[in-house]
Amino acid sequence: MNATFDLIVIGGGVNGVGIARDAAQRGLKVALFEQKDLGAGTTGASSGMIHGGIRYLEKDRDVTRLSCQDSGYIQQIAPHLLFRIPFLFPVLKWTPGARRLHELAYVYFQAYDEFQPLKRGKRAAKLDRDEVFRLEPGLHPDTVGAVTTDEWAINAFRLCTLNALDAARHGAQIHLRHRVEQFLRDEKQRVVGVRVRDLRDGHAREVHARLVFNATGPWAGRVAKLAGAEVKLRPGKGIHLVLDRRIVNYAIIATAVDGRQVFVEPYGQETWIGTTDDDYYGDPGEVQANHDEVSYLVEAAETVFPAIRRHRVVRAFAGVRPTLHRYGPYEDDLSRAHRIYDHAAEGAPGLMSMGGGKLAAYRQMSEEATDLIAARLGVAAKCRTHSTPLPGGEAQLDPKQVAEQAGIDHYAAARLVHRQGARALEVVERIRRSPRERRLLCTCEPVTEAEARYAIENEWVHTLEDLRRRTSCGNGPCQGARCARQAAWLLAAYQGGGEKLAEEHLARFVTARWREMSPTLSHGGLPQLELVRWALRRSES
Amino acid sequence: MTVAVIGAGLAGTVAAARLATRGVPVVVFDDRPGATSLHGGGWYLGVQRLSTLFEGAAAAFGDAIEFVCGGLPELELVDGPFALTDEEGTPRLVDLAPAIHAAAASLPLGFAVADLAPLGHPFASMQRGSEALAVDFPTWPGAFGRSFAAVAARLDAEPDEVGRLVAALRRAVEAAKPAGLLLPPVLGLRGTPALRRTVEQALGIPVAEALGTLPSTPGLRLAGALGRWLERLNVPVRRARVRRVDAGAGRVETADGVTTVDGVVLATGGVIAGGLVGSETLSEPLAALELAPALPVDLLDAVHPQRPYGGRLFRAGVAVDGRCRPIGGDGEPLHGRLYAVGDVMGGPERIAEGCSSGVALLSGFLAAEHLAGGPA
Amino acid sequence: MFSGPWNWKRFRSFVYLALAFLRRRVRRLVRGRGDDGGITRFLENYAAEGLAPLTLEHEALVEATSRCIHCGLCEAVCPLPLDRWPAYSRALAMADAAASDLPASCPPECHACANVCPTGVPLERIPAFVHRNPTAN
Repeated sequence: MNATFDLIVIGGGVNGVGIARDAAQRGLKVALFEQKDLGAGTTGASSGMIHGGIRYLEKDRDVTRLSCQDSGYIQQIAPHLLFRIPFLFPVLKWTPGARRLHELAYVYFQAYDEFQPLKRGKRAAKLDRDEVFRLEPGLHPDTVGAVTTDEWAINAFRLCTLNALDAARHGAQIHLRHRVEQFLRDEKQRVVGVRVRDLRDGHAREVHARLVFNATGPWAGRVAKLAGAEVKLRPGKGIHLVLDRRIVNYAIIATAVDGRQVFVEPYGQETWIGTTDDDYYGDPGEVQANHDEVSYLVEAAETVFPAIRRHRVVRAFAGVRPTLHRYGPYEDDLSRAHRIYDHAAEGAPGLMSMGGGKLAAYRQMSEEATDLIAARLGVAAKCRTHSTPLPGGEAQLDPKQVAEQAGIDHYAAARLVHRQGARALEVVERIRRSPRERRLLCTCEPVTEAEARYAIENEWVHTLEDLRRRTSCGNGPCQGARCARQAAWLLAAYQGGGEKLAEEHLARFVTARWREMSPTLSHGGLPQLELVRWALRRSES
Repeated sequence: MTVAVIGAGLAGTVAAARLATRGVPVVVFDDRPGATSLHGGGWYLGVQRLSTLFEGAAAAFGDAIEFVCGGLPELELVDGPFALTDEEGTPRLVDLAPAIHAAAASLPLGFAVADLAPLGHPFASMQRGSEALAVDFPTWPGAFGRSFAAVAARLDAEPDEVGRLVAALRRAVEAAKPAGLLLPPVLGLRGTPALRRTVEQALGIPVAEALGTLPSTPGLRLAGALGRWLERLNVPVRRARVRRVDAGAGRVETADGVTTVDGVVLATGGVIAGGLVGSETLSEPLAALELAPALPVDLLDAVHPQRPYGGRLFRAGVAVDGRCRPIGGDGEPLHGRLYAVGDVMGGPERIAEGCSSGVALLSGFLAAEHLAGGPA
Repeated sequence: MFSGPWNWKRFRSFVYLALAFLRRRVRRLVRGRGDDGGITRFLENYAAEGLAPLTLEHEALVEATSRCIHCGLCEAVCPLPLDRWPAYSRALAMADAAASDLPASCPPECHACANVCPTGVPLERIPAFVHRNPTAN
């Protein structure tokens, strides 16, 4: 293949697709290669927060301002994907200087309030003991008060998908399940492309481009090494526990045994407990939560919300942060969080990499990277990613209307609109043409057959795990007991396969689910697992 | 003497029914009547596997099957259209289930009207894909997305619905002219054979049901049939949650008091039904019985890490001897008149080893036989 | 917090925090506890989005419903055309949407769903839970 691109982006996480979108919008010819699936690595294992950088308030308040501003931008371009999370910081009786801490924390949050309007945030409040128990009676009896603030969270998988879709709309090619194996060099040792292998059929080919950008997060070091260059990371493993349902309406901050802050967070219909941070030098693709980490989080959460142990942990997902090896100097805004490398000095001109970063800053970081890329390629076009809506973000639909038009439950419609935004109308149109597709494929979330088909047809779905990331199908408490077999048949039919292919899809899906379920089994998951096994057993066994 | 059977699932009901039949006074405790409703409809008996495990099992198996089939006539277990017999004419329910499963799995979304053309065996000859005629089931009978079991319940409750079903099917049959019909499991939760014959006569072709997905219509039918079996035998069923069992003292404690009995059959089920509970370790909550293979059973040790879903996942259960009597660390029965039957019992892995119904049916039957003083 | 090296940006940020502290002292003198905002402000903030507090009773029910393994048997035996209760019980924050799909309560004495539940979830209480007034405290 001799087609020449302006830019090859390696990595389909939020930064990769963010750069691909920005570059494609600026008129560059872009190809993106991802070895697995959109958001399947670090992005999908994040806390899903689009926070306003409250922690920078005492280091560099301009960073806080920019973070809040960007949170506002993301709300504008994808309003359907975000949801509000009120945060409670309980102050416990036995904390040293509890009263002073209570007051100072409130002052700090009031200072944050100055920037809240940038992201449609709500003002902080200081709660006394009575008040905090009226809000959250399940808190630990030693709670003497709380302060509150306000943040936003997002569906990170959908955020990736929408960026990729918009990049594709602007002409970018998105290739999933393609692994970059080698960099191509010209006679001057300049990186002029990549050799990629399609992992589905094993076929390798060469793709040429004027510039290659390595946005592979925790894999960045390995990928750069293929070109003899270095991205020095100190990868940190982080896990989150997923409870089967919302057990609180407000996020609660707790302190773990080692003094780290962890949170119990209502995330969509689930509750998440996060997170851990441990050095991790293994294969980022093989990262998995272990029993001790699960216990660590449950114990920490228990200090503020004692009932947590009686609730059911469905699964634990793990990811690897591409943390920079050494923090940069403080004067440079966000440089302590991320860094962009030009490998020209290391004998690999034409290759750039990014390390560090966080989900909330993805758009800013992508803009910064694309500015550099544009400068290298001599493109004058400016960034528009903050002002042009992502697919589905063009208009806000009323779920009630969608429910009536499609003849589905209001609840199902609300979840559909959350995931698809204005694109829900295209799902509704499918249902109009073929009413049987309004059937619920996944009852936990819920997901209609029409939405699953729409995702399969339009959003690069190759496996059931892909479908789970696009639509949440099989992501609920039953982890596929009710929907996975039917979804497997649906997907296999699209791919021209029969029972054998469906069973292969199913086997891969249950294995992936098992990786996330098994570390949590002692926390109430056994009956569920027994049902899953019963429902998804192979018919011949 | 009176025997308490705790749990009215398949194993508990078989035990209670057998005891009653043998003339032993029996009382059943169960706080919720639908315990067996997750049963998928396939009767995996695992005759060979189980025959070697329990004393007298080989001899008792035939009697046990006959006894259960006689007790559950509304399930079309034997002499129904799809029951198979082997060369000697012995009922072989075992082989039926995989065939039905295969048929159900071959229907992508679980519902179809299929051309069963050369009807040697209703399922064996069924073609997939092109010859299957999909019927838009969700648009009938109106409420979208209702489960097959819910449709089945409605057919029982409202006779008009049967007419609508027949009319809808007739239209489909007239268009496609199949030789037979394979329906999702919607033909009622009670009088299934009668309902099936009604539809069969109205359409003039053989009608069969495939197993659907969850929720399980066959399971609900079984739960109902078990309850009616105990009713017919006049076995009292107490709707109370048992808190504790002391077999030595012959005490069964519930919220409203203590019942004194002379023997106990523990049929409380596996993890789903709460017969085994676990937070950090698995345990048997009522009589604090030892679990097999060893104590303490750490949950993660009880789970096979290599073969998710497919293999021996839960190996733990109450440790029993060859007569289904719970044993202590020394391998001796804890009490001469305490039995553990069905899922709560350790031993074979019922899904992986293909003996899910067999464990319940055989252990329930054997325990009753022993309590009644040996084989009849 | 307040650890790590200092530079002018940090110094400036710190000055603003100090100003925030002084502002707070002054406002507290003027408005007293009114400046805390308290539960009134908090509830006003989130009423529109239905992010309402739960009572202990509700939390206990949430805990009980978490035993649900989504087998679907309750849907199968419910005499009302009601499906997916377990799914609705997850929808605390979206109570409004779920409420319009469910009747306000069950026929008394029915309990068919709870009877059939293999893990003992008190299903008959869910409609009333979903229909609780989300803004009530």
